[in-house]
Amino acid sequence: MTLSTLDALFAALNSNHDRFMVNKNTQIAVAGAQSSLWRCAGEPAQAAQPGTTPVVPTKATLGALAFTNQTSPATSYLAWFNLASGNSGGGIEIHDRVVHMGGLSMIVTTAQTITGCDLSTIGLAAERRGAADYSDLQWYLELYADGGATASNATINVTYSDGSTGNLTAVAVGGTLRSGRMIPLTPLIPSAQQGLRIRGINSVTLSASTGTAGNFGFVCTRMLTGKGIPLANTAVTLTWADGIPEVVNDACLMIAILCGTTSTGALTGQGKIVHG
Amino acid sequence: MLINPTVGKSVRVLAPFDESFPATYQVTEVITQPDGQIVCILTDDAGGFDPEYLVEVTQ
Repeated sequence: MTLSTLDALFAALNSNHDRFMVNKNTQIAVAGAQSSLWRCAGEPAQAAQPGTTPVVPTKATLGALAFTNQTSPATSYLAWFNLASGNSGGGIEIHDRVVHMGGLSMIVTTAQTITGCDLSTIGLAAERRGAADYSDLQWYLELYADGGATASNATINVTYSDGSTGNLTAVAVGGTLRSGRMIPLTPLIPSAQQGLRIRGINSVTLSASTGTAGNFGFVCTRMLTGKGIPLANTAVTLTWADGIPEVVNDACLMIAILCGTTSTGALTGQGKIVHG
Repeated sequence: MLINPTVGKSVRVLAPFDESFPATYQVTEVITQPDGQIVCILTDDAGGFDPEYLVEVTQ
């Protein structure tokens, strides 16, 4: 932390920051589940579907919130936002997308292999990774285009933080998973591997075709902060008193919604990433 | 692989899904997708499986 006093923080809020605007459309979702706004139209712009080769997206990736990299010891912090949702209930989350890939099909029942999706070898900067045991990060299965309605299950083969590999508990992927849906993988770690973290994704196998190819993949994120949505069309404000997470250079900031109903709700407002 | 999938057959689930679905299930519905792929819907909310991941259990 180089902003070590409130005076320095207040000065940065007033005169040394990047301001970002948010104006995202609503999208279909599931109450109680997370939904990424990465592919949602609006501002920031709708991101492209990730390719089949896993990459480390950055602040320069289309769809990310923009800010200016700093030269050490100066750094950046998410110190303020004021956002209003069209829905009541749920929560707004800000994540750094550290790795993502896509292009997987919901109608293929043979194993779909993913090459190079490993946090230890993909070239992720240590400051974006956080803890060396990957405990600051969370993997998700993420939809980039709607899947089909037919019931199916996905078994995901992963590499754990100790280098061992194994299958996660199967997760249902039928029922028309909508674009943006984020299914967290940590709860799928079998009891025998509890305490380990997921370091990489090796393959995914669907038990049946869902009937629609869709497009899905995997994203690993580092959640920075979040704020509840108590009322529709009433702005919620995140301030320095909520904690000011550091935004490291090149962080690929995206917004996700923990949905209180069956849509994400239109989201509008702005925020500041301060420097110092 | 489950040959001639039909409603009412008892089945076990094969790898890599057997750890998550270790029981014996019955086929409750057989769906043919527009592209010709077959999906067997199983009891106990086990979901849908291609016949290649099922094997018949004979008593």
